[in-house]
Amino acid sequence: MADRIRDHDWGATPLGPVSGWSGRLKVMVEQVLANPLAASLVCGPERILIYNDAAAHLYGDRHPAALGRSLPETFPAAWATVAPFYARAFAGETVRVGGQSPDTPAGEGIGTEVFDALLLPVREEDGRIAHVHAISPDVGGRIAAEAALREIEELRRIALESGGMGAWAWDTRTGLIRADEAFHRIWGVAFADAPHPSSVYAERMDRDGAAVLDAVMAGEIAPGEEFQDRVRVTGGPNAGRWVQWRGRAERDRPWIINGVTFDVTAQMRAERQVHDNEERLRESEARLAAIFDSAPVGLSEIDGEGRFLRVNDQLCRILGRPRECLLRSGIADVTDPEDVGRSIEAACRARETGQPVALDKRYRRPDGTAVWASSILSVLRDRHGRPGSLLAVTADLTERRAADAALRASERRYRTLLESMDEAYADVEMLRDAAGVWCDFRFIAVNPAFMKHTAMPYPVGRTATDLLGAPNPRWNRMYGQVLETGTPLRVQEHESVLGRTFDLNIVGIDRERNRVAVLFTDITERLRAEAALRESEGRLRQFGDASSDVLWMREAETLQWVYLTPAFAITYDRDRAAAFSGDTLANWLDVVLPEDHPSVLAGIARVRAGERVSFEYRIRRPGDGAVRWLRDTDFPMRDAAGAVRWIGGISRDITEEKETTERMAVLVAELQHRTRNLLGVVKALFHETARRSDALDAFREQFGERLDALARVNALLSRSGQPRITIGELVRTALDALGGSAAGGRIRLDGPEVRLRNSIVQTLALALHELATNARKYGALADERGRLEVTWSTHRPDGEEERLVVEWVEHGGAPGQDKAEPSRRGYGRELIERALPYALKARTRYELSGEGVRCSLDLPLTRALRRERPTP
Amino acid sequence: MIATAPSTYRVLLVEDEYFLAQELTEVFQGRGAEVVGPVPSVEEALALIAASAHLDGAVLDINLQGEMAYAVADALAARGVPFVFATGYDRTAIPARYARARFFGKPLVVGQVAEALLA
Repeated sequence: MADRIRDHDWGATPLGPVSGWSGRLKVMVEQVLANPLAASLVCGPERILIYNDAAAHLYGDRHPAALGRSLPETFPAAWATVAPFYARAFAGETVRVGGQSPDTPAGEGIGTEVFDALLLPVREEDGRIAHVHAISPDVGGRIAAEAALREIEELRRIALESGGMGAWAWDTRTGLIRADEAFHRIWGVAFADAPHPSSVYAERMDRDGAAVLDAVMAGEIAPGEEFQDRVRVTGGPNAGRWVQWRGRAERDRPWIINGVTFDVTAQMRAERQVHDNEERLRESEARLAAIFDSAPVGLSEIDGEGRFLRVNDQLCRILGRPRECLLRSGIADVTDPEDVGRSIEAACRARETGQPVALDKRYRRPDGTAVWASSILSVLRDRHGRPGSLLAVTADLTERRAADAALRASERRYRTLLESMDEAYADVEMLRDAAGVWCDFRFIAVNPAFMKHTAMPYPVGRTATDLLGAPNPRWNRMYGQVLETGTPLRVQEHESVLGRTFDLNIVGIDRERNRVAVLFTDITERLRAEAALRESEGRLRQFGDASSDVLWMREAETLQWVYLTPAFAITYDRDRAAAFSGDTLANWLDVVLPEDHPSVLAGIARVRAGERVSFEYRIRRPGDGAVRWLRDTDFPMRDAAGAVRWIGGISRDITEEKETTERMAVLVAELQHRTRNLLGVVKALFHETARRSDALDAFREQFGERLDALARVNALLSRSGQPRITIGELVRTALDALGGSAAGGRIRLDGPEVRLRNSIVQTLALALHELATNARKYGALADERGRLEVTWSTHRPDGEEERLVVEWVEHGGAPGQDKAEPSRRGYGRELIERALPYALKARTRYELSGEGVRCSLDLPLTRALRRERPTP
Repeated sequence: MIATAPSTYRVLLVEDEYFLAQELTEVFQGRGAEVVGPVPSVEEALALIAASAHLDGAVLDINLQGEMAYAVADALAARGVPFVFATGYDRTAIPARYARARFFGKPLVVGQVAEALLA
């Protein structure tokens, strides 16, 4: 304290520096310091305190701030009480303060202690009272005495509480004990005014207690000597209880001990409880130590300066250092230099806040490798709750960090996948209404494709109802169902608010938090396209069904039909369903004429190889056995990869077409034949006419007329598609050319309609022309008087084919007719009498009389010609 | 018909056109050949061939009153009798098996036909 006073900065106080102090003040300070009692000097009007060590003890935590400060400031509460005493002392009175509490500054330091103080005025050399010297008596001694008193009081209290204190007087020479009723109650011995030998009580106490009695009786007892013991009652009704006795030898008769005995069982039990607790604490500590040592995490206790106080094996393993080494080290010695700062900071924070602090940091092993570890630092408190050392729980993070890194990488990959995939993804939280029914859902997360598939604004954090107004209520039902059943759902569903249909995979991902993941695609366009395709296919089917050609498709690999239009049934005269079942290629080849198989199969092979091929073949229709010509136009059909997947074909029945072509070829050949033959006939006509003509004029006339006749009959012959020419038509044509109308009623034609083979028409027509022109020039038609009858009929002589007979009969012919007949046989007669028999197998008769010509032509019709209704 | 020496050329004429048959007959006879026929039909032609012990040649019209004369051609070929076609048909209309037969299109230049056989 002397040092402290010497070193104190007195210049800052009203007393000023020590060098300026008066001699009297310095002496007083020395007196105060030398006083073994608590002494202080209260200086000047400011009442500045200077005090000694004993006083410092009394001041408690006011010390050392009280030094050099004013008394009222230092003890503001007590000052109100003591100020009047000090006022008297400064007034020159020696003041004694005592018996009051708290009434002195020291009183504040020790609470309710009874206290005495002496206040002595101190005069300066000028006689003025400048200071007061305050002295407190030996407070320490008084306190000890008071503690003893308190113990007695306690015993008294225990005795009273335990049901009474027994009083006794023990003559150690006789061993007799005279005791009161309470004493006997304690021991369960019947009360008697007469003394009992101590053995009566010794028998009822444990052996140790009895031995103490014996020892007291056997030993030398000093006057006033005190004895006490605590013994266990082993007999009588109070067996099991504890009693304590206390006695003092009398001054005059030291063999007489007077004392008291009281029951201390409750106290014993309390003490034992404390003992047991301590035992348990030790056990608990032992267990804790075991746990500490065997814990699978690193544990350490670290003092305020970062030194390891205790470490367990696991920490030694983590840090790669033996225990002895660690216990000689501090945290900083084993921490990676870069993390030392953070380590210290974390420890300070734990101490300051009293809260556990987590810290991930690197340690450095002796081999130089770094090891990541996570520690939790907690402050350990003593039993008063005051912070002491730190407990560090340390886990090796190296593996966990690797696992975390792998997890993060995996999460990153999934995130990348979610963000880059074309399918939409949404993580939603299902919401219930007050009745607990799923009523809405909130979007927790979506991927970028979500917006593309839904055309919705960014939905995260918003509910479906918020976003869409009145969304399809089935979403709630389906998501809720997935949550409740735990079974994923694959479904197609339409959202009319968006006008879109989705294909969804719904999976419950967190039942606790009502979370559902939905992976989906917008299939609106696809459905539309599919519908359009179906429509288009429907139209194509109609097209195929309506086609009179057979449209078909075969699989390129198996050559089996996969498509066949209904025209098949007509073209092949075969049931389409039957042809379409079983081996459809074999079904088809059955119908194709065997001789056409090689070319047909070759054609199909070429299509299969990717060529477009057209070929013709024949089938025999199973129904009517008719052979039909078909023309196939076949083409390869490729899949997306360009491979020939199918072959398609159009089969057309070309039988009629082929027949028409052949007919046309025949017709052309016939036309050519007829034309050239006709020229041959003309040439012969020319030749015959020229041969018989004397003059060019006659030739010109005759040849011209014959050529005209030939032209007329060829005109008749060339009427294509008309029924064959009848004999009636031929006769009329020949006569009409002469101006038959002029002949009027003078000509009679009569006979049935008889149709003639084309091959006989021309020759017959030329013959009729000769008859007609002769009649006109020289015969019945040469003037107004003659008449002509042409009649015809058919007949069938026995054994012969049907024949036509034409009778040409002239009446009233011109007189000079015979002159017209040249001497040489004329062309007309030769035609009738020679050519007709030669070419037409005709039997002819030609007669010339005064009436005119009478001619009969009888020729075979060769093949039975249909007889028509006769013309009148 | 004029009787001729056995060494004379015997030609069968098959032609349904009377005046043309006459002309052919005159030309062949004019060149010293003996004409067998002429006949205007397949039936008669076949009958003549069957009845004739010897034939040196034949002139065949193909279309005989609407009937095709190939049966006659085949009968002649079977007997090794050379023949020529005298027809209004185009050569291409004649079956390929007669491709080697001489062919004369109508209207005929009868002299050429005779020369072809008699040469």
